[in-house]
Amino acid sequence: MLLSEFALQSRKGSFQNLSEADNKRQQGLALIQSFCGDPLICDRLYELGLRPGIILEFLGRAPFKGPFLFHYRNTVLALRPAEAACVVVSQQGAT
Amino acid sequence: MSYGNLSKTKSTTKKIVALVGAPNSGKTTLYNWLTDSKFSTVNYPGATVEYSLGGLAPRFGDDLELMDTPGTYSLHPKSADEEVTIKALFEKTFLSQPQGVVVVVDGTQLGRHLFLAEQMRETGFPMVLVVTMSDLLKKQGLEIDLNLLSEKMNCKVIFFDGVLGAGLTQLITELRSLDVSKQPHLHQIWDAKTSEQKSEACEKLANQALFKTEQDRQKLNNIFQKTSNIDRTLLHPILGLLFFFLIMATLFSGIYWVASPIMDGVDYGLGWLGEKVMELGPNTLWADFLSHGLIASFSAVLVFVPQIFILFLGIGILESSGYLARAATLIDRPFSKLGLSGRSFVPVLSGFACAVPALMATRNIPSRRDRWITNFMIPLMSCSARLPVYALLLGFLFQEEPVWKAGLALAGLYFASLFMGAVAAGVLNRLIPKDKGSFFMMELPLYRRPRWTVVLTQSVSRTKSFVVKAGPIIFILAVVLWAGTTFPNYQAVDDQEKVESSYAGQVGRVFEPLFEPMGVDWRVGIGLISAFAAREVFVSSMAVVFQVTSEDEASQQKSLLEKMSTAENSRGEKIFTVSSVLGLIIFFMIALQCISTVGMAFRESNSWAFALGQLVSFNLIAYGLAVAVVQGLRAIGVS
Repeated sequence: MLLSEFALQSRKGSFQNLSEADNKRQQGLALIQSFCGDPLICDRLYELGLRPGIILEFLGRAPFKGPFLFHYRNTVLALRPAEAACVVVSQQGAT
Repeated sequence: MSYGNLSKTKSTTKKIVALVGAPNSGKTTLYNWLTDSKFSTVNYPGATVEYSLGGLAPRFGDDLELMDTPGTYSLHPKSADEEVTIKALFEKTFLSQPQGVVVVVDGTQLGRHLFLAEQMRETGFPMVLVVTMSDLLKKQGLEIDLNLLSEKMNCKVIFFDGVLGAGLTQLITELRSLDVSKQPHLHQIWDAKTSEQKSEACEKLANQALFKTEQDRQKLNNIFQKTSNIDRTLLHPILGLLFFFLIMATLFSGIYWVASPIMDGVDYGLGWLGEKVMELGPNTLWADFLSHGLIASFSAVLVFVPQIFILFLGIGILESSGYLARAATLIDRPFSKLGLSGRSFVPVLSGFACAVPALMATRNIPSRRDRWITNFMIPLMSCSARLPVYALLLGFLFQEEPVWKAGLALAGLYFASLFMGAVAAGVLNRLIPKDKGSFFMMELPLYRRPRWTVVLTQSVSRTKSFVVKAGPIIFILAVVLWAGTTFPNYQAVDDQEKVESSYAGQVGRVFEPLFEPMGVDWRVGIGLISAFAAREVFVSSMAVVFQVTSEDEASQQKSLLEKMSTAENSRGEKIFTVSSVLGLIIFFMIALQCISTVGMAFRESNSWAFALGQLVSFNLIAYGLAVAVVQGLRAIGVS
């Protein structure tokens, strides 16, 4: 599925403390499978340290249905749904 | 490809070294240490993105020139500021092409930041790798294997402490011994497979250099825990917004309240100087030129300095603390509807104080398209210069009414200006094709205590850049306007006579047929023309042409309102009526009458077509709407 779809399906909570998030990892973890769409956006995703095999943790969404917030490798990244739709993921550790 | 005037290229025998790194990598902090905060900020020729040039601090010697480039994630630019970094590295600029680079990587983000370092290594640029944020790593007892990094990256690697400056001497020694005989080449773009492999290799190298035990990994996580805890509040859907409004309210009330007495001081000081000059040569052209032309024009430039400085200081603090990226994320959605991103919020809000610093604040927007749209909508925000005009015109409309009604109408005008700005941005969003930097992918950096030297130096540098570069344009236009309202009858003792017979007055009469559909006569026309010096000049022009003599400001307004109530045109019809005053309000709401803004719009867009297009289109729309409102109201019986 696309990362944007994954984020919309995940728990719509507020921004979580990382330790709290650790306890609820099953609900918001996505494994990057591949990139698709605008090559420029895909290129930037690589530059930001994303690549297939990286696990993303969905942290929440900015107000007014704004950008999604993801955590990976000690980085927090805000992505609009359109950009998140360039990442193909599979859900990790679904309960 | 040419990027403007390259004839200004300076030749230097010193070794030129550029600092390159991802945003928030600590590059500017290192640059400040190396130059002792003594540098000049320059625009890349043909672009409006700035970078800094400076010599090595004298205590280290004087054999190196340093260049601080805008942050970039890679050598393949995706925004205007990243493009400047690449051009500054690989093309001749004002200073000449750098012979070596310092690649700055954040030690807490080593895996990601080595990606750019690897690209740089492949270009063959003589380079030194500097690992920053060492204070944070040391606090957790983490050590980076610099020898391993040095071996794999094939360059010297130095640990730099941004708080104490440790590592500087070693860096300078390495830069001096850097072999600059090799010619670098542009980086060959990687395909997806290669990018993936390189990214993986960089992370593997970072892990080898950072983690000796599993505890080391946890130690690195500890650094992020504090940021994560703060984000829990500051990115919360409700609490986050509350703090966002509080922080922004503090910043903008600071611009209003802190800058206001300083601006008054500048205004008073230069006003006093002007009076003294007039006393030296009463009724002489030279004294009038010095006082009302030269000093008043200087005043028109310098009066903005406190606001600009405070705005940049505030933005600098928010940026270096890590909050600005969060603010842009929080407010991104409403702006995305206009084709913009959350980064446009601060400049747009600044427009309510003054368009001049607001236009300068758009430099923080990486996308050229977003910057143009934001620059276009900013002059529509109800700036503080419109306030005296609104106060006068609403005072006229609500003369016998309770004060709250005028207050409510004023609030309505502020919302209307926001609406007009949104409409303008929406229209431009449809007209301008999307550029390659229009996406929004925001890395939220660690929260850090701002380094005051860096923030202050940057604010001073940007303020100085306004005075030096936008100042002359504003100054020339102000002098031209003085000449227009002074000549040819400059010997007239009476101010009213002088203005009426001036070129501006003559223009007012020539264009009277244009003002008539707005329901006003040539005298108001003079006020509208004079308002191009500054909008608030409209009020003093009205006082001059309607012969208000009171010195006291409050009674001046009262007697001006009385004069306006009885003023008639040559046909004996009242000039100021509900319809004509509403027309004037509409006109002031939309018209671009501020020459300082036009000068700054040119400076920021680097295009007279943009600045003049904005000037003409805003004024035509303002005029058309004002006429439509006046004639429409009169058609339905509202005088």
